[in-house]
Amino acid sequence: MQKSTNVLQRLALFVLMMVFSVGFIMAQERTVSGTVSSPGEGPLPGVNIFIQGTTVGTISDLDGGYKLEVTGSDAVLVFSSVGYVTQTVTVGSQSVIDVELEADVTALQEVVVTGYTAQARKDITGSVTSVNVDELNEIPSADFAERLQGRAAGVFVGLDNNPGGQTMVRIRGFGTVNNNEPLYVIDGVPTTDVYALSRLNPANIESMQVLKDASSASIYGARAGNGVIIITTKKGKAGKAKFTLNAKYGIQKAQNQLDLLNTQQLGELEYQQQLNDYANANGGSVAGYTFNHAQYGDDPNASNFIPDYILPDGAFEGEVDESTYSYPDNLIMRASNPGTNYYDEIYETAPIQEYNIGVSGGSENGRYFFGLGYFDQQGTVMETYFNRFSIRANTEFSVKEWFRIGENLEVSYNKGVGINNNAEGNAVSNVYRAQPIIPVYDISGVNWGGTKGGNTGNSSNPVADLVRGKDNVSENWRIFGNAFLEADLFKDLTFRTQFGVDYTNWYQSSFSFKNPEDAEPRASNQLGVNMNYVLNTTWTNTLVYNHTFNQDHRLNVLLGTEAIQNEYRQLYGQRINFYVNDLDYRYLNAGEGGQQNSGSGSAWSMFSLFAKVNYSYKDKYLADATIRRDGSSRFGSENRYGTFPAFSVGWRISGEEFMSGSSWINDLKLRAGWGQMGNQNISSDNQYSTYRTQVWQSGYDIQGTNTSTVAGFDTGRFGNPFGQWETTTTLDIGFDWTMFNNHLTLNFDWYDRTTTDMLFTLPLPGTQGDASAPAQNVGEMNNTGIDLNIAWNGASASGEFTYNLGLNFSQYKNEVVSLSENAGTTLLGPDLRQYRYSRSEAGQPFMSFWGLQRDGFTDGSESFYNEDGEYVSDQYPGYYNYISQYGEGMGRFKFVDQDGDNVITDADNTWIGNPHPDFYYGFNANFSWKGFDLVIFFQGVQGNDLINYVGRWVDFVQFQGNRTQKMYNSSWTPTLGDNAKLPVLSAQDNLSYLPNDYLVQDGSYLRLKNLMIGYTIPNLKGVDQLRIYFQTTNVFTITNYEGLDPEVNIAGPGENSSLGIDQGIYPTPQSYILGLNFGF
Amino acid sequence: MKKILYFGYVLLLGVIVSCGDDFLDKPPLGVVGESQLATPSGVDAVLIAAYSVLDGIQGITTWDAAPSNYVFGSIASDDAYKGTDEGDQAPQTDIERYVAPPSTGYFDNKWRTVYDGISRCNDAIRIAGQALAAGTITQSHHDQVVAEAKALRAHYHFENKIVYGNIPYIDETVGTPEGLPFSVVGNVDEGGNYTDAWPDIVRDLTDAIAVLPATNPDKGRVSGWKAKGILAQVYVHWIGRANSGIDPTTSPGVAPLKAVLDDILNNGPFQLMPNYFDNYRIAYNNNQESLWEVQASVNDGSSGENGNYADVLNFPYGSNAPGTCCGFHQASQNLVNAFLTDPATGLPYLDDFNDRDFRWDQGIASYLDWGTDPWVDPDFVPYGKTDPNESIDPRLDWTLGRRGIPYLDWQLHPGDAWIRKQAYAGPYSAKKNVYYKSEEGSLTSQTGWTSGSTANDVRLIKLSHIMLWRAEIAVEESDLSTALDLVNQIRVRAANEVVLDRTTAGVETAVPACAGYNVQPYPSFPDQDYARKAVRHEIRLEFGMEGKRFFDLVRWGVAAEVLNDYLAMESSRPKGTLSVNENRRSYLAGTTFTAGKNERYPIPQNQIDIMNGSSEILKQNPGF
Repeated sequence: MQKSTNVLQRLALFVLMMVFSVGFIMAQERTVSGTVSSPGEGPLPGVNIFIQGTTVGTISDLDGGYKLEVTGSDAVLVFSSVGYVTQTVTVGSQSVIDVELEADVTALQEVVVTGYTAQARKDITGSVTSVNVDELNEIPSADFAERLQGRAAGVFVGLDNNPGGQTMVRIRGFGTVNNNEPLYVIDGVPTTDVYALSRLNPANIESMQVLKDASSASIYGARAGNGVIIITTKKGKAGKAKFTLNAKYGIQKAQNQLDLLNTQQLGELEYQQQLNDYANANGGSVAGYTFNHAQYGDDPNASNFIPDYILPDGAFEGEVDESTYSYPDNLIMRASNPGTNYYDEIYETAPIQEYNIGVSGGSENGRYFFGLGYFDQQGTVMETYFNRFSIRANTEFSVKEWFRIGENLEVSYNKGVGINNNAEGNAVSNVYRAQPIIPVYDISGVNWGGTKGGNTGNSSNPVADLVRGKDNVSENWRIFGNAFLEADLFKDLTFRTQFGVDYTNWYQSSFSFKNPEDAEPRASNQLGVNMNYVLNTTWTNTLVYNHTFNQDHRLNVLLGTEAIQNEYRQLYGQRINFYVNDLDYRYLNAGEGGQQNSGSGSAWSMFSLFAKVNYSYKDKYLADATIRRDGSSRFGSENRYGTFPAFSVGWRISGEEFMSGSSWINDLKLRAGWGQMGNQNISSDNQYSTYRTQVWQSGYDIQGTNTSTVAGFDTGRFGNPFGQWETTTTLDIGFDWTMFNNHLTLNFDWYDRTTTDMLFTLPLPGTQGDASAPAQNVGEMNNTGIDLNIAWNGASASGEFTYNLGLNFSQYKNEVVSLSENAGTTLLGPDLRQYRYSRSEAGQPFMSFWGLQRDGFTDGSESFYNEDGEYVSDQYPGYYNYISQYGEGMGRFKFVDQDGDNVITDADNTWIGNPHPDFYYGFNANFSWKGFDLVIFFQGVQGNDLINYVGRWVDFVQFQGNRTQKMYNSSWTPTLGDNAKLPVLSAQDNLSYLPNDYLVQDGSYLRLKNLMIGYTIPNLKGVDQLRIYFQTTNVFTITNYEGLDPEVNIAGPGENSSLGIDQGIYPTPQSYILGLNFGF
Repeated sequence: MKKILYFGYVLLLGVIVSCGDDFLDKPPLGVVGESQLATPSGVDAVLIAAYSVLDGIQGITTWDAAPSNYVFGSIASDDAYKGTDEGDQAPQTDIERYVAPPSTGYFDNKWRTVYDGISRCNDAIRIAGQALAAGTITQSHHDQVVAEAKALRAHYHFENKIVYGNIPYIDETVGTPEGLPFSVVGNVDEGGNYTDAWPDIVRDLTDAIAVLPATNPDKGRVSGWKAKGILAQVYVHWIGRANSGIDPTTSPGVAPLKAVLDDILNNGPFQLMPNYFDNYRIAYNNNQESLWEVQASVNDGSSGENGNYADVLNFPYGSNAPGTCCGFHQASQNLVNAFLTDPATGLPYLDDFNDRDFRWDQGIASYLDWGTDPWVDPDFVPYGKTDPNESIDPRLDWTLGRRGIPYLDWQLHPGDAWIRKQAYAGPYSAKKNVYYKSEEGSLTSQTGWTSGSTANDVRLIKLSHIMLWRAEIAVEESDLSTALDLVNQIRVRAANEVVLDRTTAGVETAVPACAGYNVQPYPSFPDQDYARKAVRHEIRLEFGMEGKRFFDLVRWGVAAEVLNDYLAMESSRPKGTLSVNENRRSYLAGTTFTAGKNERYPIPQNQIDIMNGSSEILKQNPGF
């Protein structure tokens, strides 16, 4: 980290020099004075008055008066106050300037980019949320979607704390069983690649709009069903060149640890488990019991309970000749006592830094923005990181008054190492799977400790995993941008043609070491190299007609065509047995055997025609209509085209005569919209039946050679030539209300979003073979909900103190209406070690949790009967006759006999949880006083259930790993009785972790996501801005969730089925950051 | 006007783009359509894919559908425990305890894998028909492909038949997926009665035998003789299950079985291998004794999935042990005791073998320094090692690994150090699927997480099966001399090769590892009852740990009786009756095998659900 510190030092020096140099620039000054007032309100105090292009300024006093030193006659004064239209006045020769400020509707005048065009916010009749880009940039993270969390009503963001990991974005719930990722449109170029989020530099974003309902989004037709996020990158403006530098540097810490056992405690727990099991098999007697364990001694209270060595098994000092140690054949490992805390071993305090330089400017003839960015985040889990270098150039030339040409282009290179998040095999999971008795290193001090010793489980050493994996870097090049040509053909008629490209090239070289220290070692070292590229091109042509008739009738018409092509190629190669493990030897040619390779490709295309009409009468009555016709290669020729219409109307009540003069309504607009959008996120091969050849799937050694096969062909996929678009129909009713002199803004939407003809892959009967089944248009899913945004801006009477408070609140209710004509059709969740915890069925929220319900503990009085009413001692789960030394049939989870047949079977499973939240929210507060600013940002989720699958490993006996203090202290005993939290200890209890409501836990949390204090150094000549700040992120989290972190993301892009299942996640880091914003 | 020209030009472009419907044709890449396969080589390749599922490995599963049937046939019987530790593959324990619910993934995966094999056979038959109709292949080529596919289809149906009992029979006319929704064929007729797949299975085999050449130079390809072996096995189970009332079917009578067995014995090209363990060595894949065998290949461009991958879990557990993972399929003490012989006669204890004492090493830590000289263990004397009065059938030490006995060419089995959790599943390791150390790398896969995928074929039917099945018939026909002769051939061969001791240098000596190896032919079978017990016991010993035992107990109609005795003894053997090894497996406490129910595994719940949850299509087995 020496290098980055130097970078920071140099930047600081550079900035200081800039500050001093501008300080010397002085010029002739004179005084301008006057009063500021508002028509109808009188004098305005607290108005900001400053000289444009500088930070020189003052504030009007209680009587609205002001006085300001001004240099030169071409100086321009800017008068601004919250809730009023900012006014600029060129000083000229005046010395007294009185100004009247009009009450504003700033937010309403704001022009936002929507589908293919831009609209004034006041004219928008759909549901569009603009996200404050400055607020986004406050959050230190690689991708803008992560920064979006808690910022926009109706947008749910799930994080992957892996540096550079993928983020889950869901707009208004889950609309489909298929891919739910929204469509991103960046400078007019669409992409659905979720890695777009981290592989492009968020600092270049100028504005971001979330199109949530059909009337705003259906112009994107077939791909808009999951919502659309429109991103515009920074453009130059005519004027002198402006330079900005934003820099931040900080450190991050992982905070959370599960409360695991030490070496002595884990031994005691093992002892008690075996004792109970022995008693169970011996009618409650423990006479003659001996503890059988390869490491621990016979008596937990004796000093020799914990051995000195775990390899050789359970050996003591004097029994082992350490001089015979040899790697890898004769390893010797000492026992770790009181025990290794693997969290402490893998967690690291890690730096994060980000630097962005922007230059923008131009003239009437040409404008430019140029951005350079560097982002580097080291993981709080050791040896993980992500960094990105990016360069962006956006230029636009006005060749003629009516003819413009330009481009927007970003090239980024990023690389990193992460863990496979939310997986039982990753390093975070191996922490709880590793017994504390295992040392990090064996006696050599350089070679790893591991599970080679008996009864030490089958985890791998998480430190070893991370260190060995540190060079398994993923590298990625991304080129994203467009070139366009725009011509005003006639007055009010503009033609634009744009060619966009999204190119990604990915390379990963992954080396696996031999691990002789482990119980399950690899036979060879191995190198796998994976490369792929994706090329997506988009050609868009639009005609826009914009005209106002008779002053009252405004008409905006858009016509367009779009052609999209996507191509994917992948190549993989692998070899084993590398002579040495050196990094510069990890090339495929150096592997001595095990040659394997594979490759694949896919392609799809779309062609679309679309039109949009916006009409406004006297700015009071608004109407929009949109239609788009899409053709997609994903569907057979008969159903290839889909048409997606949308209509919306708006009524600005505040524009009516009868509302004028109302003090509590500055602006009020009612909106209603209906429309349809599509979704086509299924395999591009869905319509085709295919046969494949693959050595392990269809090859056979028919000649009995032992080492070769003859190739075969088996069915790879059954095609559905009749498939067509999913249709998402939305109804959205809402209002935008500004009141109390524009201090309070309310935006409210109620929506109903129904996906019909949902493409669902009906499971094939096993008798049809194992080929992939095609998606069919059989399902239906519904989401209803509300989005609410409340904002208050205010100022003290003096105007020295201003503040903004913002709350966004989102609620949705998801229901799978049907999956097929057959009401019993079930979509199963992921198979996690032979059990499935979630499923979808008609009438339930998508991917709800399914299992047995507990009803306390057994007390020995239970009787269970078979179907014929005969007493049976051990109907499934074979369970109630369990005897411990405490007596017969006690201390086990008692499950509710849902079907009342006296037997616990699969038929007693029921719905035990819902991964969808009751609501989620964000609360943001900004305060500013003189040059100081303070930001507080909370974010939270309420009422969602999680499956704590990690609990299956640490509260029960899934493998011989570490366990929790909870299991040690709160497993059932006669003393604890019903106060116990877990069943009586038994090594043979693999039934308590059958999917049941024990593992369902409340995932609600409230997190102070950002706390930031900044200071802007005022009045620096020649400097637009100089602000320094300090921030802490993820300051605290309030939650009752027992796992590592309640923020559990899905396991992969488009992979919905792991929703809400915590399989071992990368913990949320806390960071402390010092930053600088500088511009001149 | 210039602007109008531009405008016109652009409009033209737009029209060009919209006209090109080809633009929206994006065929799948790197795959072929069915019509492209109706060629001589295409038809052959589709047939190869039908063979490819014999190893139980395709897109769905790893070990659930092992052709060795170690879960359904061995762990669920008195041969073996699940092994390893409690938490690993816990549903296997549920199966072992007869409490696994129909939703258990093992049931679904085995079902689907086997039916995938059937659907590939049907693809081959259908595409061969298309090629013949198109004139691209000859009639004889077509007939050969169809015959092989039918024999395979019978094999696959048999695989599921003995596991699930009431299964649908699927042929090439069923369920072509062209028209959606998919057609479904279940296991009941219109009257709601289970259909009987046995006659269909036999018909497929007799059709195949009529066409197939007696032998085939491709060792893995089904030939006439192999098909007869499969047919014999089908009859053995059909007749047994019919007689025991397990399947709703009518026994075809013993005559066709006897005929095919005699045909194989008298006219077939098969001979016993000189040594018992030859049947489990990679070096003797496809040997003279083998009738029907699943080919395994490694280092063939796959990551070991074409090897004996379905058995990768069934190796000792320890980082210097072969395979290194995961300690599943550990032999039961009951099976070990079955190998005890009377030191005076060299004959097994047919009735009371399980009441005898066998010294084991449970609870004894591995010798600390065994790593430095793997052929010496001063801390434990294995049963039979030095005392000829501790008399055992030598096949014991080819069937399982136990402490102090050479484990192939690896080292002495070190006991606890190779056992994942002795306290849970006892001190023994699987052995028959294990490779020799000298074969590591060349005949095992070294790619991926395990080195346990080997080129060791799974021998499904051997001449020894044919002989002992014939002996069973002879017993029932009171032809005791034929039965005696066949059983004694097996026993004489069993004595030919014993596990030999090794020097400290690891070199094999001429000295048997145990002084107590003692297996002798029966001098006579005094009566039919004794002969029946002797033949059945011989079948158990000869094929121990081979996934056959459970199905044999079922077809003999004795599953409930034998297994409930076993469970009672394993879980709570009366204290003090023996000096060691009581209370072997406490997790089996309270477990019972329910007669009339547990002879069949449940129809997978998932399959019933897919078929509309309706018993009118796919009906659950009785009792579930």
